[in-house]
Amino acid sequence: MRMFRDSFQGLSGAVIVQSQSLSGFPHYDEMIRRIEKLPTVRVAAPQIQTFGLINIDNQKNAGVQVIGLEIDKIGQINRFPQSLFRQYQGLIEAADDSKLDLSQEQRRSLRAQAAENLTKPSFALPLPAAAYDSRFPNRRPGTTPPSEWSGMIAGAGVLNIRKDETGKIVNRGEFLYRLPTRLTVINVSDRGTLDLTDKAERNYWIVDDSRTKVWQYDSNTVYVPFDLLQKDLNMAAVENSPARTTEIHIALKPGVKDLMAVRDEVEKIVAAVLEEKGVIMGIPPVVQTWEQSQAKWLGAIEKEVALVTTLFSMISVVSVFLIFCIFYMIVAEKTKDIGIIKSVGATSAGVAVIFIGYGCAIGIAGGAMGLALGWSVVHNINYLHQKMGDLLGIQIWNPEVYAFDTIPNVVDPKSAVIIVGVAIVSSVVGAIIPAMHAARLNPVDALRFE
Amino acid sequence: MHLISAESINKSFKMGDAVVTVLKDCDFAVKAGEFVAIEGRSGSGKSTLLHLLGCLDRPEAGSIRYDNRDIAALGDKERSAYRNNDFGFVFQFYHLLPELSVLENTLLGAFVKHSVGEWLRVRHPQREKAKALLEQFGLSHRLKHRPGQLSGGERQRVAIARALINGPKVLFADEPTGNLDTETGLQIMAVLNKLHTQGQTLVMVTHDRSLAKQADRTLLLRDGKLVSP
Repeated sequence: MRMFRDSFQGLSGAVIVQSQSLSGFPHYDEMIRRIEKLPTVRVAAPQIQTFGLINIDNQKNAGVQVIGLEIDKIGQINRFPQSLFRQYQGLIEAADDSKLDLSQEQRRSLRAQAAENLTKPSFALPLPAAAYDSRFPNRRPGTTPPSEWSGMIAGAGVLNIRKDETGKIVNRGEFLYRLPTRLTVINVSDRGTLDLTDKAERNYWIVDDSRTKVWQYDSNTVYVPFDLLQKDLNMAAVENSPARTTEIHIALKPGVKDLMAVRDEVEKIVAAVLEEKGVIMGIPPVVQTWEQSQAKWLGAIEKEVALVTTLFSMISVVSVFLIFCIFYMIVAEKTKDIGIIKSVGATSAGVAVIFIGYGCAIGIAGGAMGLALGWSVVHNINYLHQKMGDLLGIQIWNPEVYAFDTIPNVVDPKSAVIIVGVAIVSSVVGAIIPAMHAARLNPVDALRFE
Repeated sequence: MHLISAESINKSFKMGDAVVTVLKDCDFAVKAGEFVAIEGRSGSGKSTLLHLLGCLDRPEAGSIRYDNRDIAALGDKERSAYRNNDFGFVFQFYHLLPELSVLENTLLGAFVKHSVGEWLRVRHPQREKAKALLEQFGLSHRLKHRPGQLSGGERQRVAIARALINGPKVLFADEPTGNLDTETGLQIMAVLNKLHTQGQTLVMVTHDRSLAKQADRTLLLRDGKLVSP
C-alpha cells in the first residue's frame, strides 16, 4: 500500500486542478501566478493529458495516453525525472555496476550527472545533429530538418521494454534513441467540439524511456513538451481565445501536511479567476488532492489490504484455536508431571505461569522465525520470482493485474512489530485456558492419572 | 509437643453414585523425630491420610495442625510453601520426571522454591547439596542418567533425595517399598531408618507388617479411624 501511494504520489503534484473535459480550461497562467503566491505552495505547472496515435519508425502503431509537461518544472513537482532511464536510472546503474571497468572518479561523475539530471531533465536530443539528419538523406526541401524535431519520452512499455520471465529487462538498447516517431493528436476546440478530420501530426525522436514502475503509465504513455502539445491540440492562445490546459499540478513546500486546506484555497483561486475573466463552464475544473485524484486505485488497494487483513485475522483465530488444542493435549499428557511438580511445592499460579510462559516462548520463537523467514522472502521476492521464472519458465506476477512491474519488497517495521506482537499474544491467549486447567488440577488426582 | 496433629478429620470419595467414607473423625499425631508407621488394608484410606497430612489434599471436616496453624484451612500458596519447605514425599511409584536427569529430578523442589533470579544465585550450592545427597544414597555415578535408565531401588533413592533437598521437617513415605522386590525394599528401609536415626521425622504408610514393625510406633487404620494394632 505504501509503495502504491509513493508511486502515485510521485507521478503527480500534491494538489491537482483537473479539467473534466479534453478541451481543458483557460486562464491557467493567471491561476498559476496566484497559486504560486500562496505561502504553502512551492511551484505549480500546467500539464496536458490527451490521447493520441503513435507511429514508431513505421514499425509500431498504437493508441497512447499523451502527457504534455513543462520539463524544466517537473523535477520540482514530482519524481518523474527519477523514472528516466537514459538521464537517471541508467547512469546510477552504470555507476553501481561492479562489472563495468570504471574508475571511482568516473563512477562519481556518473552519479553527479544523474543528480544534475534530476533537477534538469530534458527533451534534448542526445546524439549529434548528423546522426538524425543522416536517417533522412532525401527529405523534401522546406521541411523541418530531422535534427530539429523535438524529443519525446516514451513509457518503457510503449517501446516494448519489458521484463522477461526471468525478470531481466529486455529490448532496451541505444537504437531506441534513433527512432523517428510520429504522434497524431486530435484537436479539441474550446467549445468542446471534436473534429476527427482536424488532426495534428508531429515528428519526434525518442530521447528517453520512463519506467515509473506503475504499469498503467509505463505501458501506454508518452511525454512531450507542453507547448508543442498545446499547439497541436489548438489549445495555445490565439486571437480572442486564451491558452488552455487540462491540468495544473501543484507542489507544496516541505512540511505542509494539510493538503485539504491548500486544496480549498486553490479551489477558491480557480473559481475567482474564471469568474473574473467571465468564463462560464458547464463542467468546471475540479481541484483535488493527489489522494482524491487516485481514489479509484487507492480504494481498490485499500479494499485488498482490508481483505488480506481479514484473512490473516481469521488465520490468527485458527492459530489461537490450534495452540489451545495443542496445549490442552500437552496438559493432558503431562497431568502426572503437573501432580509431581505440585507435590514438591509448586503453586497453582506457578503451574499456570509455566504453561503461559511456554505459550509466550513459542510465540516469541515462532514470531522471530516467521519474521526472519518473512523478511528474507519479501526482501528477495523479486529474485525468487526471477529464479522461479528461470527454473519453471512461468511468470506469476502479472504487472497488468497488480499495477507494479516489480513485486513490492519493502518490509514495514511497524507492521512487522504488530504481526510479531499478534503472534505472541495469540500463543499466550491459546495457552491461557489449558494453563488454568493445569493450575486447577488436584495434585492427588494428577498423581493418580494414567 | 506434637510436630503435626490431626483432629476429627473426615474424607470421602464418590464412586459412581455411591459415596465412600474413608476417614471418619480420624485423629493422628506425631512428635518431632518420631517414626510412625500406618498400617492398613488396601483401600483403607492410608494414602488419603498421608495426602491430607502433607497438604496434598483437604479434609472435608476436622483440622490438621502444624506450626501452630490449621494447615487444612490455608490457601493454595501457603499450603504449597509447606509442601515445598516442610514436607517431603516418597511415593510407591517414585513419580520422577522422565525427561529430567537424576540430578535435575533431585533439584526439582529447590528449583520450585526460588524465583528465577534467586535460582541463578543459589544454583551452584544447591547442585552441590543435591550431589551430596545422591552420593549419600550411592547414586553419584548416576547423576546424568534418566529415570528410565535406573533400577527400581535406584529410582526410589532418587525420590528420597528429591524429598530431602529442602530439608523437610516431616518425610511422608507412601508404600515406599511397595513396588520393589524384598531385597531392594530392605535397602530402601535401611535408608529410611538411617534418616530416622539422624533425627528425621517419618510417617510411613505400608500394608507390610514386617516393615511397619521397624517404626517407633505403628497405627492401624480400620473403619476410617486409627487404632493401635
